Amino acid sequence: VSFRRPTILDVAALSGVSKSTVSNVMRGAAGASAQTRERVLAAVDELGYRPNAAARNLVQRRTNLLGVVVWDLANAFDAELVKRIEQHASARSYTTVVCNTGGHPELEASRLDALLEQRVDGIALVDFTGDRAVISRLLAARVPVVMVSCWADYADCVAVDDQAGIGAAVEHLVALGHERIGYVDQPSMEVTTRRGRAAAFERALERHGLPLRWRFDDGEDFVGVLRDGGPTALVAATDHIAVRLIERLEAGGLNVPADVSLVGFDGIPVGALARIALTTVAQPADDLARQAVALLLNRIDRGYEAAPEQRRLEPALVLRRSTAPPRRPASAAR
Amino acid sequence: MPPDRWATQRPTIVDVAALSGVSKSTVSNVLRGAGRVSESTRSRVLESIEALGYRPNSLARDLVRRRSSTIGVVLGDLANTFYADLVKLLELRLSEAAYTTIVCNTDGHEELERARVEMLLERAVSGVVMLQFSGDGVVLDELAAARVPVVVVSCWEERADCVAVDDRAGMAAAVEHLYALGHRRIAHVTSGLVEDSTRAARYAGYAAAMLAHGLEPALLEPGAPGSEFTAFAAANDVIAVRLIDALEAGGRRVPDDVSVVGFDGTDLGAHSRIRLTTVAQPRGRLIADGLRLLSERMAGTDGPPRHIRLEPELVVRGTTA
Repeated sequence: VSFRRPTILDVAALSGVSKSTVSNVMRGAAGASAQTRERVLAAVDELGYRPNAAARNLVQRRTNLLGVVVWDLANAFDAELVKRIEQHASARSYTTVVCNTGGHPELEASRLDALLEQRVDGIALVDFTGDRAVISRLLAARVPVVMVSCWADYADCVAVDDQAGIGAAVEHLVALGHERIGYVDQPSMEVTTRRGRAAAFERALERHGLPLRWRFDDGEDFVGVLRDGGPTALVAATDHIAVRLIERLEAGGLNVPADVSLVGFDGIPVGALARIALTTVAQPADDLARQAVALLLNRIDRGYEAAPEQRRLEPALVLRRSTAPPRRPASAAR
Repeated sequence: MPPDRWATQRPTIVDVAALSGVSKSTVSNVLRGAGRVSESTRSRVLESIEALGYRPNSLARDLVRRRSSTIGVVLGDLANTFYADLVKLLELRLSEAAYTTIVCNTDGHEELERARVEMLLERAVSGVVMLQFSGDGVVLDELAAARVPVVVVSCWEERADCVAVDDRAGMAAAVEHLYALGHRRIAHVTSGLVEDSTRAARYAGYAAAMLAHGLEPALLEPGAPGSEFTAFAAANDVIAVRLIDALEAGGRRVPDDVSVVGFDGTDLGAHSRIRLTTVAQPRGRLIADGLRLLSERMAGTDGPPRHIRLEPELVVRGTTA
């Protein structure tokens, strides 16, 4: 068996008609007798001939391909978004090419180049390094882009209101009696989201008249600080960070929530397990994906003149058992 | 970023030719490094390309080669971390080899699987990796008729190139472990999201091990853990972790009252609050061997289906006692 694909010429040869007759039959155009039609279709069947999408696309200047760029499929929220984007795109006859960049600008640039070379009709950026060289490449290529769960002024975006979400998390901790609240994020997070959520945390503390004293990088060893009269509660920038943080805190002798309360962000299914029971700011993943695909397809249809369309969705605070009142009144803390 | 740069049409070779004041074929010669082009023309063309952001069309190239530099990946559920990890590994390896990755979720539906494979064939993918396969013969026939190589990874398929762990041996090891701990009333828990041949093989491994000890096999769907059992061998980690959730919600502690074993060896199961005893699959090997088989076929290797069977490993943690 050779892996050479049958061509329209093979079909024409086998059915004893011209190439254009085969083409007419395939497109359902007039001009072929019922008998010829039958002979061509039998040959198509026998050879397993398949009209080449690339050829059709070349004529239409459309590929019906969408690129999805994501940092880390091991982050369940990213995987969930990609899955739902694929489903919504597929329902509208678009195929999804997935790129996992690990958040490296060079990898991102080369993956985006590959997508552009494939002439994808549009790109959904679930995460984006914001690298200027990459941005100007995208702009120069004039390819429609939608930012999903991240943000940029120059592109269509759909994301939750990070400020409201983080605000609700802090509000909840303050209501439980926490006054010493820290924040944890990581460098391998999408830049605008990282900046936006951190700033939102700062503003929320300010609103409650609390000092901003503890801002940790997930890669640092900060468990000792918590054991040593540090914060009694932490807000994590993502559930992915929070779920692993439970493990680290408890390995360091701090129970969640007895010693440290913890709030995540995203709402991944793992957080809903009773053994994890993570209080979190949940994002509507399916809504984000659906609207992202809609924005992208709109942009593909209408071209680039229209101003960027930007939508903020409301996150929802989901209360579970990773948050509780602080063990000691904050005033008695060292 | 000035929004007026978002013009409606992408630049074509015609635009490049117009801007640099040369013919289309001269632009093409410059791009392919062919023909006789003066240095000044060359640099003028390259400047135009830069200014317009023109990108040679891989579609046109694919049309010539009749194949795209794309690999299709079909899977059941990207939200299952085991598959997300496999896709992540695949995408990394494929992009290193200059292939892009089309991902198709089937949610375990046979009709969706057929539709997605059909779509992949229309796109003239160079190859297909099936991380989940319903066993639908029509799909294999279509792939064979289109002469598109396929490899089935992480589930067993006699009729195609395939890399998978020995599901029966893995499941039997789970039962032996529970038996050695003193359990006799052991149920197998599976679900429709487990790929068909995998589901059958894992159940067969479980049932054979039970019968070898003169025990009655019992098959359960997730959601309603029977109170007559003291141990559960789940068909994958996600089912196991959900089962633990349901058992503990019903007041039965794991592992004090009841034991649970998973299958796959996901990071989720390794979490200190879960510590799932599980039958782990070697993810890196699955992908490396699968891509090797696929690339050999893509390079034109003929012959009957080849099969690689990997050994799974029982990892004993804290959900069995």
